[in-house]
Amino acid sequence: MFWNKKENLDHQVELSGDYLLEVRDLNVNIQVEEDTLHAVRGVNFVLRRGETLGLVGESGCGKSVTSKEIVGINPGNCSSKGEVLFRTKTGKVFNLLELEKDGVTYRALRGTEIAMIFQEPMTAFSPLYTVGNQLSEIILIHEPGTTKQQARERVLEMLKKVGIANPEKRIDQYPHEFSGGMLQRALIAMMLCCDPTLLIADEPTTALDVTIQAQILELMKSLQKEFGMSILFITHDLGTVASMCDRVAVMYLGQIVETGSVRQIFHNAQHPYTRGLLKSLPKMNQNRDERLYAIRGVVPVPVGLKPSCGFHERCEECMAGKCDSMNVEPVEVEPGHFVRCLLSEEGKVRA
Amino acid sequence: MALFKKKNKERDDSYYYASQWQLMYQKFRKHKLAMASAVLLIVFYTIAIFGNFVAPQGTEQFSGEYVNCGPTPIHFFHEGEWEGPFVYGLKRDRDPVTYMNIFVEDTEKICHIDFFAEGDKGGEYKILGLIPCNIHLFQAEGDGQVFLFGTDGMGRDLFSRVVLGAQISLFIPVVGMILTVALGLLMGSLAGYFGGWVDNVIQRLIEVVRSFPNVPLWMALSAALPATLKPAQVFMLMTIILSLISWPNLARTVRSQFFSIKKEDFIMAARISGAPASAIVLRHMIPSFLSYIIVNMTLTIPSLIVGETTLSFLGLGLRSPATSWGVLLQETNKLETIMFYGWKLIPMIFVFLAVLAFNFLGDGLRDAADPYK
Amino acid sequence: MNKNFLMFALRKLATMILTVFLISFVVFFIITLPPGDFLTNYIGRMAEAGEAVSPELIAELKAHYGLDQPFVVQYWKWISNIVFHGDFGYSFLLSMPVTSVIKAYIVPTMVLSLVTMIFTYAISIPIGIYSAVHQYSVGDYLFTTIGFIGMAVPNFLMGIILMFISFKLTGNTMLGLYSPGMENAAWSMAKFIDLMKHSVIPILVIGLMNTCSLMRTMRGQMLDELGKNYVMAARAKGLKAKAIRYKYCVRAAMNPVASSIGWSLVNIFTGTTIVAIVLNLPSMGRVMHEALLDQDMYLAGSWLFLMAIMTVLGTFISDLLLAWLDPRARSEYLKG
Repeated sequence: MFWNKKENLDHQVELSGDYLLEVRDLNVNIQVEEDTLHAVRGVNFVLRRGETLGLVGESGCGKSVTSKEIVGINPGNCSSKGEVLFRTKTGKVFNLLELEKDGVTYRALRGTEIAMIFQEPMTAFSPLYTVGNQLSEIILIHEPGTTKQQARERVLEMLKKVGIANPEKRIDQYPHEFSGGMLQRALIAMMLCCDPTLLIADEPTTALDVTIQAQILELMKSLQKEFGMSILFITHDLGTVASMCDRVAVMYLGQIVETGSVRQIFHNAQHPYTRGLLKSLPKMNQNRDERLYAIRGVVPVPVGLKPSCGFHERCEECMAGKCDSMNVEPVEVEPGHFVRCLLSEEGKVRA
Repeated sequence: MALFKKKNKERDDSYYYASQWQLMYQKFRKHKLAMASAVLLIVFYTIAIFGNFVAPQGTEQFSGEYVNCGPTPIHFFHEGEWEGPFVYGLKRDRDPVTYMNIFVEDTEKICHIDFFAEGDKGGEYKILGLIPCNIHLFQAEGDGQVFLFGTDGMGRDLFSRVVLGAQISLFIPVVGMILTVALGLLMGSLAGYFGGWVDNVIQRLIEVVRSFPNVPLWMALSAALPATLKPAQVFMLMTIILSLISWPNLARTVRSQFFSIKKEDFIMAARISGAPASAIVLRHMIPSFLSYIIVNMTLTIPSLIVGETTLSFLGLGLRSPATSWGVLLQETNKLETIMFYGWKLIPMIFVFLAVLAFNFLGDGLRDAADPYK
Repeated sequence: MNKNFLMFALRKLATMILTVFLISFVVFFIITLPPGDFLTNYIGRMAEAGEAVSPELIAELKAHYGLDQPFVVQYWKWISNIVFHGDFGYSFLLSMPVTSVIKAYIVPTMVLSLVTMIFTYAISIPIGIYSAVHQYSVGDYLFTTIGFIGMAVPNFLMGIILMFISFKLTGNTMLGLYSPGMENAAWSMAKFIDLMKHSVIPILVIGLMNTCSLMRTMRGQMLDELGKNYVMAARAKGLKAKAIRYKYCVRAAMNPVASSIGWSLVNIFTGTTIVAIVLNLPSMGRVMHEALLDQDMYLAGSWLFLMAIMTVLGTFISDLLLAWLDPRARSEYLKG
């Protein structure tokens, strides 16, 4: 057994059906000097085996903090509340928030069960060691008894799988000798070395050239087919969501404001924020003289928020006296499609 | 970081429109130690400027009677009676153990302290070098003596010497700093802007100067000064020597700043729009690291204070009768000073405070200037 | 790879020689800086002391140093004497060749500098790491405060303060390297302990400023590294916090520290010079001070020259070390 006996994990946590991950009422506060930022405010979502969920939102909406909280790598000035339930390969269910952040149990899960890739692959590697060294490290720490030679062979194989040409030469090179796209491939290879069931991708293509972006997305899709892992895909780009995900959750100001299947979100968006996002996508047949749509205003800073819909200041359909004075609970407008908006009613889809 | 005020709506819009300097000032004010240091330095410099008024004795005065006299305590009560601030008269005695001359208080004789005392006891001076005046902040009445910090081996009041020494010890570094910054900025910008062989030559020069240990090089250069120079000339030359050695640090940073900024888009934009080189450097490049230069200026001063003090202490800088803190400390290089005349170490406290205050100030400014903090 | 490294080392060596050449020029300029040539001063001084200098000697010295010739010729005579004959000139203060003076003092000076240097690195690096890892802890505040004060106090003041404290506590100022009477005693345990006792203050004084600034550098670098993305990525792959710290962060933070060797030497030489004067140590610093007070420029200049050469050498070693430690720097160098 790899988990730490000291941590009280004996009480069974329920995780129903084929869920791999369930986030229940997750709250994360960030302490910045004397101010407390409510970065994540009651987030709920589930992720099934083999499924890809897109977490979409502007910068600062809390999507990155949510993902890092799942892996347990938020910095020390973050505190969290709620439940993050995760089912391991052996079927045991953990509430990740109860685990000691850098304790034995959590560390054993990282890399082998939950893996994460980052926005800037160039900074995710230490410049001081060869790419091969940093890749085999993940095998060596999780599978004691593996020899360096064995680890190296597995790394070579992984590098080949992620499409790095001439891996025998590349494996002994340093990160600065790689291009950004190559490093992202290497990072994916590293994170998949120990066959995780959940891959969290935090804007994996944002820092890359457009042509490289498509290649990386294709690579992730094909690897998902091969390894069968679930992906939590974090992005601000609705275009990639359409091509990558099964379901979408739209985040705004630390809350999920709308969630549903890709079809539901793209064809039947209900929340004014989601609609705004979709409208601001440039279209192929758009008249060139026409200005691109932009949501007015900026994301407010989540400090000392009053009970209200987080979006009311920027919403074109804001109802004075309602939206700005009460918290809004999500309603299910069609099966699997939830909206956090006072304009939406139970079981009714707005046109 | 007061980035996030309590309520969004109530957040002061001025934050967003504040200039770089206002932001720096707001952040600087939060740095308590740096604020305290700034206040202390203002006090020091004010006292130094009005030194002749604050000091009860002028530079040229001494009283041969009171050689190596310890600090005279200031009393308020005589035999339980309120008297206001006064000192007792001094009488000569011999230490029963060491048989050395010492001074003891003559409790029979009370000398009150006069404030804003007029009289020739402290000598005449000119306010800011212009207006003749003979009023001093305080003086003992009659033939009483106030030696707050004791006297030196020639019977000069150490407190007055510290105050008057500050005029040199605190102002040489400022002049030196201006020279240093001018030189460092010039060399750094030349190297950074032109690159190529200019850069190569300047870099070699920097490397050569940096290869010498500071103090030994200072020592060698000042030793070469002819002994016949007047104090004012020594003052000038020392300032030049100190700054000749301190410029490379700034030059190096300015150079590397230039190299990194040269590639920035706004410089490229200025260049494409046909701005002349001088305008690009003066209007765009230097302002973009001005805050850095100011921090560097603040941090150059303490190293120059140390330089002047060290050189004078070693007998290679200013020499008596010129007065600077380093000159005052020359006496502490003798063993008996440490053993018998502990008060002569007092000037050290001021060197220490001035250096520390400048360091804290520089640190506070650096934190304030860092846009990411 | 190795051949490239050699090329890089050779290229650095070439610039180093150029720098030393330029330094020698500066040094010679300083030597000739005092008004009037030293020989006239020397003759004047001898005459004052009632000694006549024979015209033959004067003529010989004049020819030897090329005193009646232009600066460049004088420089050439000086430098070629050093390079080809190891002759640094003549000390009129001590009435012996400068080379002999240097020979007599170089060993204790170098030993003192080296011991201090080891002490400096051995103390500052662990403290810097501790402070960064336990940022804002009591220990961190303590070390940061000590560091600040240590950097602000000029060496000579520190020397006097420690002497004063030592006198108040033990009644002994711990001047010199040995207690009176011990200097010429045969080597024994007692003498060794005596030497150790007397070394504490000098090492503290010489090393403190350097230790404090290195400590601050190390702390800052470590904090920088600890906040970097690769630390998060390494955590995400399940590496222990300690392993991340030592394998990645400390290694990276060491690079700037390793590149500070040359600059550390500058500080240490400054320290030894001043400490030798204040604490009356039998090292070169005191001799240099006396030489300078007497304008015995050959002696002072030669010593300055040696210190500068050591510094350049230290910088050279730093450069090689950095190229060896940091793959980015390495590949940049290899490109040329």
